[in-house]
Amino acid sequence: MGNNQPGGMYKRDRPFDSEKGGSHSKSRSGAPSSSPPNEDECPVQMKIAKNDERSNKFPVVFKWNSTSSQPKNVYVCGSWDKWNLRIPLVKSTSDFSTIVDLEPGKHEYKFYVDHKWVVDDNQQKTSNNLGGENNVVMIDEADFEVFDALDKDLASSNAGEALRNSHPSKESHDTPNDRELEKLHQFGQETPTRADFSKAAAPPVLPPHLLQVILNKDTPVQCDPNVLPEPDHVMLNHLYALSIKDGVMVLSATHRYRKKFVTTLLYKPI
Amino acid sequence: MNNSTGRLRRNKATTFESPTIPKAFFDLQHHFIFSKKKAPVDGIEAIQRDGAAISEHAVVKYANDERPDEKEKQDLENMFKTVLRIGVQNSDIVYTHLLQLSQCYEAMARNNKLIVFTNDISVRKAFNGLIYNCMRTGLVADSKTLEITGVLSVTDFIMVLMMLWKYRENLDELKGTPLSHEDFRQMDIAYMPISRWKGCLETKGQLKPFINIGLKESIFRAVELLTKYRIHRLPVMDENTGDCAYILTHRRILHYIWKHCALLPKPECLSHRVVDLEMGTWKNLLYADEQTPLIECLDMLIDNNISGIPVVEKNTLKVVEVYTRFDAASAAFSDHIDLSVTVTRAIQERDYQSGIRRDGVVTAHYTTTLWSLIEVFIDKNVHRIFMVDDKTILKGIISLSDVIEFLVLRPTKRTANGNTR
Repeated sequence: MGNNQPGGMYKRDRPFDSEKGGSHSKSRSGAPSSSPPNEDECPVQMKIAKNDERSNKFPVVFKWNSTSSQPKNVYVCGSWDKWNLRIPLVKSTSDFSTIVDLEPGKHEYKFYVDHKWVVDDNQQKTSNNLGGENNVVMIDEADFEVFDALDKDLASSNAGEALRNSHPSKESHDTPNDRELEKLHQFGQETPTRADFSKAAAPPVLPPHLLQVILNKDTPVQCDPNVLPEPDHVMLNHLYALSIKDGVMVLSATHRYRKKFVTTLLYKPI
Repeated sequence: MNNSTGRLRRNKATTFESPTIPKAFFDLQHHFIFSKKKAPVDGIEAIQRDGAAISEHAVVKYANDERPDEKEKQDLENMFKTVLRIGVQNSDIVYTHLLQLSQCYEAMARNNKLIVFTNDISVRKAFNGLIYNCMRTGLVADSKTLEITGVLSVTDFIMVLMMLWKYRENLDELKGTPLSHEDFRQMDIAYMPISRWKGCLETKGQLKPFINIGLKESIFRAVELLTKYRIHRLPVMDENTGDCAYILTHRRILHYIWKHCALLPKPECLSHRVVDLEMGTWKNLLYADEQTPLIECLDMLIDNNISGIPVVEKNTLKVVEVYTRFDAASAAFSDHIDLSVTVTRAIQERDYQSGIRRDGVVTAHYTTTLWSLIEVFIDKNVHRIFMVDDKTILKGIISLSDVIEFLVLRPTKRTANGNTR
């Protein structure tokens, strides 16, 4: 959601450096070298490569958007290192960007585009003591509180706007697709109630991979009838039913046991 | 179990319980590592013959029940290795040890199909369900608690059939007339729910207890149970949930041994002639001739607790056919069920029903070696082989259970005897 800000400057494009378990504590233990004790637990870890140790710097995105002409080189210079270094911006399809780790506080900066010093008119500006202008950025530690930041983003973003006015007025344009609607919901810990889905006209479409029913596949005659083809993992724990015939209901489900699978058919009269 | 530390494990979502088999139960004398080229040819062929059901990787037994990581997987392409820790001082006992060290889980197929009937379903519908799925055994669950309480097998089917038939025989005016499906439908017996049928058997004292085994118990224990109760199907249950994982049969056990035998030392007995070994039945053979009525055949099967009988020429004892319990199930497809016909006629009927003529009866010469007999078992997928002489005259019968018992249980008995002496 952070991308919905209109300007060229993104303060929080980076996910907050994950401490263990991605907690949103403010303290950044500056010792990524104390690598996780167990490599096995890695899936929740996201390391930020460029992470200055022992400091409380935050990654800040600088972006140069050129609408009119396509510049060759863009650099950014700033007060953070007393205007020492020209940091090159990396070109992508339509813009230039880079990430600089900055300490909290106020920083002035200016772009150096094709050998000319320019400011971005879309960003906050201030006059410098040389008679020109500089852009200015405020780094606020609180912005890096992930959840706060997301909330702020939401408040200012289009989606948040939509969420707030979504209720009656916006239903005019034809049926919004599920994905669009999904974007309007917040992620949370509460199980949605039935009412949240009541507006949908039809049940969700069956994912195509579930149409591959192993019980319907022909098995060669010489095969052991007790053995079925190996199921796809997506089929597990789904209930399959045979249309009721002769007063008998047949249900089936496949479960995993360690590395193997059991497909159970239940015959029950009704 | 120790060599996994420091390596990335896949499949993190699951925590496997470590196998309960004690690690150093036997002297760890050998680790067998075979390259594909060096493994005995017959073993490789067996694995290939098994085809998709048992992949090449299935040969490998991983110490920690873990998937190998990617690098290892590559090595596997070129190498068969097993860490079966089997003491081989006495090659005779090698299969016993193999099964003692294997959990029932390991003989499980990749995906098993199971049928569960609630006990309020009618016997007839249950049999239709079995036949529709080509299955021979279903499980019976309590309709309320869904707890598995028993097994419904072809044997039950035969008994229902015979009960129906005998009931009619007692009614004079109907005596000898074939059963139509209409009759079958109207009969109380076929209509009654499984729970009542099982109750019926109980009052007659014919109900067998529900024998099962845990997934983590050894296959050796399973063999003991199969032999002790003279049963052919042993449901394997998950100890934690009480759910059934699959149904273990002698066939599956033999296939399990077969899968591993390329990597194991060969016991000497495999190259002996079967006739010289104490296995199978060679005396007092039960057989039917071509004119024996079907009902007598079925009686023989049920009363003697056997799975199939040979059909022989009356005077010469030449083996011509076989009638098995499962053949009786095909009767369910025919329009009329008449148990007074001869067994030959019943077999013709069966061939007609199943659409394929079975390629006759599987026989082997009585001087054949145990090894080649096992090959026939694996190849032909039969439960029994009739031992014949040059003129295909019946000499003896060896069933799968005989073979398993011989390979697995006999060595333990011998050592037990040795100790007592």
